Amino acid sequence: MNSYTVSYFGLLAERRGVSEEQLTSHAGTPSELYRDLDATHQLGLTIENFRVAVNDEFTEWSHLLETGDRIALLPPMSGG
Amino acid sequence: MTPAIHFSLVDHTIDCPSLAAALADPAAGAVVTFDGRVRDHNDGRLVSHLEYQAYPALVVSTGQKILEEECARHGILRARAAHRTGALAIGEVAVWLGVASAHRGPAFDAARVIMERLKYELPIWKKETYADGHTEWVGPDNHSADTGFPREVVPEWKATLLEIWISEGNNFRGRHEQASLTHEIRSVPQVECIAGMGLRGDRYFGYKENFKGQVTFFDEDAVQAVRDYSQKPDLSSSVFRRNLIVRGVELGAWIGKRFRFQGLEFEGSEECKPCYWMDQVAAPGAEEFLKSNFRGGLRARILTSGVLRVGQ
Repeated sequence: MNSYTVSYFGLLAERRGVSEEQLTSHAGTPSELYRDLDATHQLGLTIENFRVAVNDEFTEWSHLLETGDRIALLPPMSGG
Repeated sequence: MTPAIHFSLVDHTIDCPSLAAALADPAAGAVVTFDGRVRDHNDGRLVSHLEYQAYPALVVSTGQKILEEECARHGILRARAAHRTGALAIGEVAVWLGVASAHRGPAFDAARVIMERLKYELPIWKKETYADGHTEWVGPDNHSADTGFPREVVPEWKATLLEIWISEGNNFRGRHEQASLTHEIRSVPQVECIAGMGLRGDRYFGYKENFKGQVTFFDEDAVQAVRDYSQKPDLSSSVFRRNLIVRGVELGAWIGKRFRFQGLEFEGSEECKPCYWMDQVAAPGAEEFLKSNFRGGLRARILTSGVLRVGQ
């Protein structure tokens, strides 16, 4: 099991009810992590157009996670 | 020594003159600046104010990277950009960009592409609050916030809500061959709609998952028609036990369709079939009468939560 810090933003943070949480998980990639979180909390959003960042850098959903990683789940953005 | 290229994220009013002053360069013949301001309308709806949320570390690194890449590509001498977070009123500057270059061609080109990239690549999210109090997270370029795909434009009813009736319990449902119960039905000036559940305080609230009758609409014309039919000009619209008495919309046209009413979103599910109790409370034959011309009303699911008010 790994320890992760997960950050949520926008609509996703509202669905989850928090903007950040610490958790332990067997998930090895961000996509596995999202799948577990979606199943547990019924987030109801598909990640097709979402992006993900690990330790403050954009990365792939298949990125191999290590314990202590900070994962940010990013819904479609609307800055500017 | 100030940096030639700098991106900043701020939680207060952007100091545009100060940013513009940082673009001064004796080698620059062209300076192009852009203010992105908060607009009073979006998708045909009046916006009252909005809020930006950011992932700070990644916004700053991404913004800086975009500026540096495009300045190198276009031969830009100096650049400044800033994006704001927090609550903004109409007309306030949400994002500011300035570039200085020897010639105007590269300055205009760089400014254009940098703005496009900032809009699509910065991890920033906008939440709009509309004149009717409704709020919504906006997606990229006004696309859907949850999928990023173009949003369907959901038509808005131009109808008036005349009465709201809610009741704690069913009087007739499931009571074949028995006398009706006597749950009172109350008229209220406003009611809280909870998406997926129903009207707070009403007997069908949370009745079952994805229930088709989370809310029922009934046409005032049908009320009047039954009054005429039963020769009871003072018959209360409460006898039909439908939640929302409306005027100005053809209910039958909305089965299977999404619509907006007072800023909330609903989806018509099916006709609300009257039952034989109607013959007792109105007049014999009322049930048959209500079955024609879609007079029974519209059952609908609630898709967004909020408050409905009489008179609007």
